[in-house]
Amino acid sequence: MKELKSFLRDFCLILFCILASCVAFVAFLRITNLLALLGIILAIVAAIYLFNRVEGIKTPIARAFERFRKFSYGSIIAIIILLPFILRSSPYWIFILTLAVLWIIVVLGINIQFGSAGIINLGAAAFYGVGAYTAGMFATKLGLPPLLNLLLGAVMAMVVGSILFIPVLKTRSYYLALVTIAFVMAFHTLLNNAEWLGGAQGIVGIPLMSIGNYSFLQEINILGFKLPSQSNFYYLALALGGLLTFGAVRLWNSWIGLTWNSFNEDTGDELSAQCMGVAVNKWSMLAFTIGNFYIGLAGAFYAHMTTYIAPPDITFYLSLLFLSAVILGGVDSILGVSTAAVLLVIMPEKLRALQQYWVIIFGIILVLMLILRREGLIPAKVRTYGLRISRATANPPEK
Amino acid sequence: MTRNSSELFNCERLTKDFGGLRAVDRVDFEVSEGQIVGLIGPNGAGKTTLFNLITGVYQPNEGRFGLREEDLTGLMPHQIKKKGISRTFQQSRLVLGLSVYDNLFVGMLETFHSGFFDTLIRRSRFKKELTTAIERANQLLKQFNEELVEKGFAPASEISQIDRRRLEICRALATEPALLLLDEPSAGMTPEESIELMSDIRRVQENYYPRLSIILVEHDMMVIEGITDKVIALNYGKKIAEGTFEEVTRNEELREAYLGK
Repeated sequence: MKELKSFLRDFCLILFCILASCVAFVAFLRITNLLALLGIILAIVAAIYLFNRVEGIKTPIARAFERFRKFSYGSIIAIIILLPFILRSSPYWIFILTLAVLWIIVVLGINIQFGSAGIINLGAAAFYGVGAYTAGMFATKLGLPPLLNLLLGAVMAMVVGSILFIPVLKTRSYYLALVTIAFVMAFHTLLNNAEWLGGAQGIVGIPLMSIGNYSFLQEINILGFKLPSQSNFYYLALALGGLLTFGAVRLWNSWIGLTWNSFNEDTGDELSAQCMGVAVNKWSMLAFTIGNFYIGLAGAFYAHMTTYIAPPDITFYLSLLFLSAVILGGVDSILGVSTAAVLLVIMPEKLRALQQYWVIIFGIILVLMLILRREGLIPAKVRTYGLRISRATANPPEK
Repeated sequence: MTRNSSELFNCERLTKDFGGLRAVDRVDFEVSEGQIVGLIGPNGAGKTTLFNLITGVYQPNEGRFGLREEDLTGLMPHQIKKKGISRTFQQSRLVLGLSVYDNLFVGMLETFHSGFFDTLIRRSRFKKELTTAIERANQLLKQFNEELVEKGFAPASEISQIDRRRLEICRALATEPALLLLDEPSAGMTPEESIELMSDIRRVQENYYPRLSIILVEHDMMVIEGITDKVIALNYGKKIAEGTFEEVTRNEELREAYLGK
């Protein structure tokens, strides 16, 4: 009887938490009144603060979550999938959420490079651009199907990245950062001046995403619900993003992630890693290349979603935003950087009224975060390789 | 006191110049299997440089060294590690943000073979390796300190200074080297801790790795009293004395190097 009671209590607790976060998120998206919006933001921040600081709130929720682990994950995924149904009257937000998923993909790529392996990439926008332009060129000049272009864009970003990486293989940290900055600057100038790439006008009229004969312009009719055409993009991005997140988690939770950490100057030590037999150059290159695959893929998707790509989209500023998402979210924390990516896409849209101040607000947030919480929104946890170990006891796994 | 006379490691005329400074000057010595050798000398005598030469971090200007007749001169650090020479560093090079296990696994990376397929698609091979790795890690940790096993998934920043040293030695031992180089393992510890650690090293070597040879850098001679089979003294990059602890401590030149004339 007591057992049943605690079971029900935990279950209701989890259900309440998930529904409450869902309602808070949707309310946050839908509310346009600035004051109400600030109220919602404050309420969310307060809830997170209380959760973190008050043991009486944190412990039962964490325990209930452990107990209904699969159910919790399942319902969170279900809500993410159902978001277009909830937001079907505002296609604009579905579009923004799709963009957020693309950002997650980009930021996961940078997280592999910078978070795991410690390679600062301030040229991410350039690789995003390489992906977008590759897709645009192949689609407009050769008429290749969009899905193939996604792959080609990603592969091209990988190839360009590896070519760039060969001369800088001997440099590390700040010098590598400088090289990547130089690359994004040079790439921007190249795009502006290369006539064959459309010059300052960029590439216009890139065909919209489609799969075979299925055009992404049509609305989705399902179970009597009519979802706006933007949902097509959302679901494709979600499928790709899900797959890539799954890959990133598995890489992190493996010897590969550990190898990257071992020579990361921030968390590890290059000399000792070398003495342990880690071929640092090879593994750096691998991290850089895999990261660029993620970034390039998102870029190619972007081109097929907006049908238009031009030099002003590919700036050093964008690179900075991408990298700051990693720092803001928590270096090497997949959950953290994804959350930060979503916030960085949604916040400027929400604060449209304060648009001209957004950069200032963002700067202040970043500085505050670095002072108050250097490890980021959701700091990386100890790697448990997918074994279920509760950190509180840190016991070795049972055999 | 040499228990086994078969020769494991030798170096001849090993020399390293940094610009005009000769940091290591034509040093030669031998280490037999199972021997613990103390390498002593005042600060700047060239002890760490000698280690860096033997582990391939620096390339010697002159001379050669080898393990069991095999010449290792000119190899890269990871190749030398593969040949069976493992080391720890004067300043701790553990990754404090990673768990105790992760720090050990870094030492075992070479023995893991699961690639991208095993990582991304079918994890059965990876899981098998993980189980073996955890068992091996527990076995290593147990040799030094039973309590460390409990803390396998705790961040290395949460364990005590002496346990971190032990962990570093465990990591160096993870690949079962033939020769272990310990660079001032007692640096930054209290005299009691130093002595505890030294007796740990001797105990673990005698009980679990009787064939393992160890070279131990130390600038405080008293710490290594009683645990070394042989002591080599360096000053200004030159070998000035070699012999048992008692012989070397009686050496005039060494007394001068430490205490002045």
